[in-house]
Amino acid sequence: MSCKDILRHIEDFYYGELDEKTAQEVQSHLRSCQECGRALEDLSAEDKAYQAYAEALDRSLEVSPQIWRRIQAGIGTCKPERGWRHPLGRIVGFLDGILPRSAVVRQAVFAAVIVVLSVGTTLLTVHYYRTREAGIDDQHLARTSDRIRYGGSQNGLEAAIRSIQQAERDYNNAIEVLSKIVDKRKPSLDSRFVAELERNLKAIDESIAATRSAYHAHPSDSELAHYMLTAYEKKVELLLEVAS
Amino acid sequence: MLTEVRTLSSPEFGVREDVQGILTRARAGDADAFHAVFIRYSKPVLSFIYSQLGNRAHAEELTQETFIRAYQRLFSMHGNTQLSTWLFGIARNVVREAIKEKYRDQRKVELDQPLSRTLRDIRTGPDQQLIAGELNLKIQKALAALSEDHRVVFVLKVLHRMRYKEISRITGASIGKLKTDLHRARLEMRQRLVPYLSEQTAGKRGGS
Repeated sequence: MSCKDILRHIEDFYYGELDEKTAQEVQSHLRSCQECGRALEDLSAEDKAYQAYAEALDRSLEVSPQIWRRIQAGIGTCKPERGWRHPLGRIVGFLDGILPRSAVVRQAVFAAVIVVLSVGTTLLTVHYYRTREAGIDDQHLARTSDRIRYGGSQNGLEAAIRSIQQAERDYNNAIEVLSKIVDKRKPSLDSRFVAELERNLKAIDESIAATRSAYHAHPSDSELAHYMLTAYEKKVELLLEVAS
Repeated sequence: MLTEVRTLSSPEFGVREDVQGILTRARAGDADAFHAVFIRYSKPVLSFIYSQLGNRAHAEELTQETFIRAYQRLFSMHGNTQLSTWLFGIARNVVREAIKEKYRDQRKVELDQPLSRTLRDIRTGPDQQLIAGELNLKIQKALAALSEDHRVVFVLKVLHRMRYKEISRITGASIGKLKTDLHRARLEMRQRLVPYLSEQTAGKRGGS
């Protein structure tokens, strides 16, 4: 490495941001080059001054209790907003939180993730049929509503119904796996939180029962299928949240 | 240096609790759980914001806004994100918005000012008394004179000792850009602090 290369890498070297091989090359050059060694010394002396500034700032800046009181007033009694999150982000987060645990739990988690991904594909299929439905609706108003639903063909309808039934089975499997993990975690959770969780799960179960009954009475209705799968999805989402 | 933790002290129970457990409780609307997050991270966040603005009252106001926003968006935090990185990202946006807002207000009366100059000038005046020592005051002034991008990377890397990867997540900038910005920021700082830093350098050489 030339001195020019060393000076290009010296900041990264100082902050430990170089890969091992490059760091060794820089280190070896610094041992034999006085000029570059001095550049590192200057950087280090300069950095000490900045660190002294950071420490002085740290000593001077005390967090006033009033800030927390104002935050409390700001958040009031509101709960955090349940915004839309990409399912993959949730799954990645879930894996991240769960991976250091036992092999049995890891296996269960991967099973659950595969199920969730498979159900995700089904939701996309339903969404695709619904999108097609909207497009065809505009252009072929004379067609019957049953043919328009799920893409306008009997084969498409049967495939979508099979897909939804499979999704329902997959959701139930996922819920079973996740419920076991959540049940194991319950004793370590705050009792008020467990009570809140059970209240939410009960509400979701009621929603699943209602949408399921409506959908099974009209299995060709894509709107009802979507509502039912969304209710299942909410339950998996909540259980994932607690399990992670 | 801000290190990520896996447990936090829960003010309610007085015991250390898993970060994920605290986040789950906070997401369910438990303000005490969120208080534990505030206790751990309010000082680094306040310090980061103060380094951007140079004014304590304004920094406290924006720290408050950062945590209110963080609470409202707890569900948007992914499990693989470090809590500190996520909070600093929110703080960074809060500061940017505040700067833009002030810029808009000032722009109404100073339409002929060039943008870069105005952005630097709208920082509220630094608290001269907060940090003692001549060199510290010079550093504070030199920081204030940096452009916003340069100042952010300088503060996070040099003062908060964050990895480029984390800074990239906070700012959304590529690591290449961050390295270039840091290098330029360092040169600008050095230029402004030459007489003071050379004493330090000479001192170190003399002592070694």
